[in-house]
Amino acid sequence: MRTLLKDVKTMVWKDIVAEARNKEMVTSILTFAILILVIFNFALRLTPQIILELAPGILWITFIFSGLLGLTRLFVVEQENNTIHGLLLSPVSRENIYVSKAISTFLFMFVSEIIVIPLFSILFNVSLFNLLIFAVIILTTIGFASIGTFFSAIATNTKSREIMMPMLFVPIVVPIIIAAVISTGIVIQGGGWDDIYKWVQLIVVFDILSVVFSMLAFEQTLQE
Amino acid sequence: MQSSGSPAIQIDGLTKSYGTYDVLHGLSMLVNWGEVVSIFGPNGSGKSTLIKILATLSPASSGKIWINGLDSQEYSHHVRRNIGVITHDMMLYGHLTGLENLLFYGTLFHIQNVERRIIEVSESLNISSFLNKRVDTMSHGMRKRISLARSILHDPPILLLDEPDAGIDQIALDILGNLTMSSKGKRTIVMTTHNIEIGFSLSSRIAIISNGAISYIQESSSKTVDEFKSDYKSFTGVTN
Repeated sequence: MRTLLKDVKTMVWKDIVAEARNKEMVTSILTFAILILVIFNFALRLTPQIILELAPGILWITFIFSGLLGLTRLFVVEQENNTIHGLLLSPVSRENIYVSKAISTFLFMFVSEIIVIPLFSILFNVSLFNLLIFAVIILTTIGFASIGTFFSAIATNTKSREIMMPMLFVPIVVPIIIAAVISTGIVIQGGGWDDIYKWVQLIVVFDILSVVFSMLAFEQTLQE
Repeated sequence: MQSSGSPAIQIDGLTKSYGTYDVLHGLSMLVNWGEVVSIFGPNGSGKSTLIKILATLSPASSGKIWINGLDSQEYSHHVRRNIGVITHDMMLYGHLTGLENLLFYGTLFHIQNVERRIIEVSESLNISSFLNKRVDTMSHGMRKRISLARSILHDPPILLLDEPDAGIDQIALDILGNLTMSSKGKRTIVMTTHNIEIGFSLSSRIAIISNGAISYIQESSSKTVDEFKSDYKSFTGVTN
């Protein structure tokens, strides 16, 4: 357990330092997210009556498509100079490599989402500053990052990863997108924990299954 | 780390196929402790594939490999602690400094007192002066030397070098030569190269890979460079 924590901490630290210097992932997620929000803001004539209905969908469309952009590039960084071979040549288990990549992905996606939330609130005049909404965002982002990291490793080895990644990722995350959109909508309209806990349960079960499955199958994605 | 009794590397009937094409076909070889073996062969003969399989980066289609007495597929984690690998790729993160790269890899290998070990290796490879530069601002030769440091940081008893002399400057070449010469008798080295002069001068044994197998292996002291060049031509059909 101590080895796992040390290995994961080392690899996440490396990802954070590299990201802090090149700013590729967070910048691309954030830029794309802001563009989507601005386009929605201009394209839809949102009256106060329908804004509460549409806001959760707009929010999660923004998160999923901007997140996809970051996920597609996740292992590209490791292909430059073939550093993925450096990782594979170390005595670190493949599961630890997966866990560290999933944590880094979660952090980069979550940081971008935290920056997007105030902008969303300003553009659509809908407050998202609610602990329940934050809990839903954190849990859903864990699901995105855990299964997204796995699919990103597969898509990186294909010639058309920009097409392959959404084709693999989007159908699988549909259940948690539905759960996230519905529970966000309920909270925005004044609902509480009792109204959303079944949806949150679904997201948690998805997170657990996707982490376990990805850890078990990750080694196969790295095979030649 | 070195287990008594077993050879450094033992390869038995190694085959690697891509679809219906066999790159390696029943390759067998034994490398003893402290030997430096250079493997020559034309492009596409399977030299890099052999190094990749020995390094546990690629699985064999069939056959067995024991490294330090350990089955390399079954005990790949332990095998990785015993080997240092240099390939065409530097395996360095461009946005990190040389020191940060070495700290990163050193920590993954759980090296005790990693900072002191980095100082030792840096001094031996003469890289201390540019260790704090970001890798993406370094010259190719500098990167190669940092990559060399990365490969020996955990003090592996076995080094696998895939064309380590490709595209490097004279300083890096001298350092590589010194490392290989100083390793003789202490560290086992398997190296692939196209440069017959360099490979011949550094090695205790020389081998040729052709048709997916080791077709020639000799003590380097039993031949002159010119004799070996002639042998190379007759075994591969090409001049180097």
